[in-house]
Amino acid sequence: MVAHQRHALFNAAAAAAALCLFAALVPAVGLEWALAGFGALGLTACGRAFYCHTVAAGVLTDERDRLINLRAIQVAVAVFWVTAAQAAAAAYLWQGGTGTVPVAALPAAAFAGWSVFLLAHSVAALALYRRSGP
Amino acid sequence: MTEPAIRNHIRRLRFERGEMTQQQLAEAVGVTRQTILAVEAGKYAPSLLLAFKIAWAFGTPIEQVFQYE
Repeated sequence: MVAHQRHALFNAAAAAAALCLFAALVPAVGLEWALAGFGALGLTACGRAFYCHTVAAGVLTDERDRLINLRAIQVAVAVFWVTAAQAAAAAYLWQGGTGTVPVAALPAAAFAGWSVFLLAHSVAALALYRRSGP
Repeated sequence: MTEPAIRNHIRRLRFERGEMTQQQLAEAVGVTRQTILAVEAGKYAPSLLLAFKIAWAFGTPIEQVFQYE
């Protein structure tokens, strides 16, 4: 498993943890305090640690890594928009055409959207690495 | 309908050059060992630039390394 794969696995775990924590906290402490669950996304800042020894060894990223990253971004964008459209339709069906949105729903939607994007990107990158090589 | 494949002779060429390792070839052409492994296994079709670099590293014309079938 190369550094990029380990990084993708780590990001997938962080994004999944953030989404699960948020979903678990909402019924317990309410929407506002459940936003703390997205704090798990802060772990993704540690991603550079995966490349420390690779830099010393030589080439860090080549054309195959860049191609896989581009394809993973395409998959993640598609997944993000499908999820966003489904969430919007579900909210409309649930609440109807009228109603109010809690202020905490806006950051929750933003964080959840980023988590979905990150999770889809990481899973797609892992699948593409598995398909096109060791 | 099967897609045309790009065959390569990297394994044989490495063997003929004193068992050159994948790491040595990767360093010579500026990519990771995993990419050389993927190209050699036919799981990744390299860019034209990388294909020329690999041929250059072996000191052979590109058509002796890669073949379109």
